[in-house]
Amino acid sequence: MASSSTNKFVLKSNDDVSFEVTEAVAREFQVIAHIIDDDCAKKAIPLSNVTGEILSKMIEYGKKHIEEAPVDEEDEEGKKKLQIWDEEFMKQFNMEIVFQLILASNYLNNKGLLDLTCCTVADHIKDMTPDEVRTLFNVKNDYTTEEEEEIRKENSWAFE
Amino acid sequence: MEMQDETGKRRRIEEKVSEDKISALPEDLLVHILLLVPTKDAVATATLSKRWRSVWKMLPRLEYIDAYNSKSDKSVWCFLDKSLLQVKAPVIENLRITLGPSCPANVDVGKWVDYVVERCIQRLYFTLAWPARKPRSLSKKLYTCKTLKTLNLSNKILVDVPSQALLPSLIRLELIAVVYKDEDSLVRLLSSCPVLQDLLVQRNQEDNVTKFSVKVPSLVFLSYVNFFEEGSLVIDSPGLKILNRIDYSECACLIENMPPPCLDMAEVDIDSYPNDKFLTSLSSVIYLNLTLPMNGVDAISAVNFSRLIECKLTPSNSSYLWLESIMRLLHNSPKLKVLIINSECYSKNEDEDEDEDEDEDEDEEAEDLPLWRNLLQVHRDKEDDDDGVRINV
Repeated sequence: MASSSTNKFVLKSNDDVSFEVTEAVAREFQVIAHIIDDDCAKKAIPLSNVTGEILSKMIEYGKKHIEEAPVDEEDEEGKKKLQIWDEEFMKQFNMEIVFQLILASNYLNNKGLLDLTCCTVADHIKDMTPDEVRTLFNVKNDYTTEEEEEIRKENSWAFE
Repeated sequence: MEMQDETGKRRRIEEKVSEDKISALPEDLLVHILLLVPTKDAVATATLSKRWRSVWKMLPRLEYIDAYNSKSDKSVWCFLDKSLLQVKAPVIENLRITLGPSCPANVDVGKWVDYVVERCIQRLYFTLAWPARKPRSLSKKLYTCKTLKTLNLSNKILVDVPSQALLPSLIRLELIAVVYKDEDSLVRLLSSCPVLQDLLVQRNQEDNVTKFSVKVPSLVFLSYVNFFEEGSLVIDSPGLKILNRIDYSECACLIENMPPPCLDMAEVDIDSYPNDKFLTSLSSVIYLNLTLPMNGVDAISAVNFSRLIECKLTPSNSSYLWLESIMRLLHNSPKLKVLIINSECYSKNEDEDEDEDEDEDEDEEAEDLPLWRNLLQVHRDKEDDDDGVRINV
């Protein structure tokens, strides 16, 4: 695997920003790993669904998880350290960016980042009333009063 | 950002999202997000808007848990009864149901089981924690579920297995303090699991089973716990590698059809003197952790442990034959590297001993050998070298 630390690839965002990354970092994203394996990795790998702003953050995440990867399953300290970094990492984003990261990590298939970003959204749904959730995410209630009442009845336990 | 207001309820202050980005996410990502919140909160999203009405119904993992101790709490059963049958996920990967004391006794648990079996349930954890109520049998369809990989049945459940039972995918089975319709029901259940690897059993005092017979050729791991005086265990599982047995019954454990080398690991905690056949079947272990009467230590020292590397002994009462026994154990275990003797129970139990004469003997012995009150570790650096034994106290 010596080649994966020396081999470099260029990832190009949909707004023409290029990032040079090592093969190991590139492989953090399953879709890119497949492109490399299929030997289709030409000079630059174009990523049509990701902006430069988002891609730079994803690469930052990928790099960190390569550099600070826990030694093994039992490396609790290593896991904890990375978890703290993850939490700090997410704090810099507003919800707009979080949703873009969710879509991009789903598109490039990075399970760790997808879970992390989804968790951030989930934390805003947990223990919240539907009204609070609507306000937070700007969801428009398009139910009629009768429809809403009916659904509330259907799932009464969930609203206690 | 999180803040606590006066009532202690969590409030998050966020800049408001100008557009409804969340509802624009594809359904699989919404499901991914809802899997990270409690089932209750996920179901509550149905009222957000029409877009959300059915998203939660695709959740492959659901939990309905009653608080065990609080009687005043309303049970989840009503919500469960209404919501579970609305689930549309093609495969239910994980379903956890725990019904507590506040759940009415006449709820139709069978209906739920039928439904999730139809939806290709993979892992089911079902606890009926009803105090002082008759055990309930679940739907018979459960025992012919093709997709089930893990099954946990706990407490007031009556295991009533039909003759045509077949669980072709079941890898792990946990039977925690359940009651069996009869001994045949248990036999049928175990013989209907051709690929079962892990079996965890905790006996119930009145479980209608005298002889708990484990005849499972594919079994690798067995954990068996019996805190009661009655009930014996018969193991007929030639592939077994790991055995955990906590057994305070006065009945013997029989191991049949076990050609060594078989067991790799055994943790055994018993109150009665172990029989020879059981001990012989332990002879292949690499790791052994034994809690047993001290005269049992004498018995195990007669076994040839050809592969034993690490051994931990906790004698649950005292005796004077220990030194000879330990030396013989060392002699019969040529590969033994670490022997740990934990005699914590020694001083605790000696006062409780009923036999007066023996008590005196033990006290004398204890005065002679104070180090036995502590943890003793013996390390051997070279194989088969009794002279090279290092003792750390």
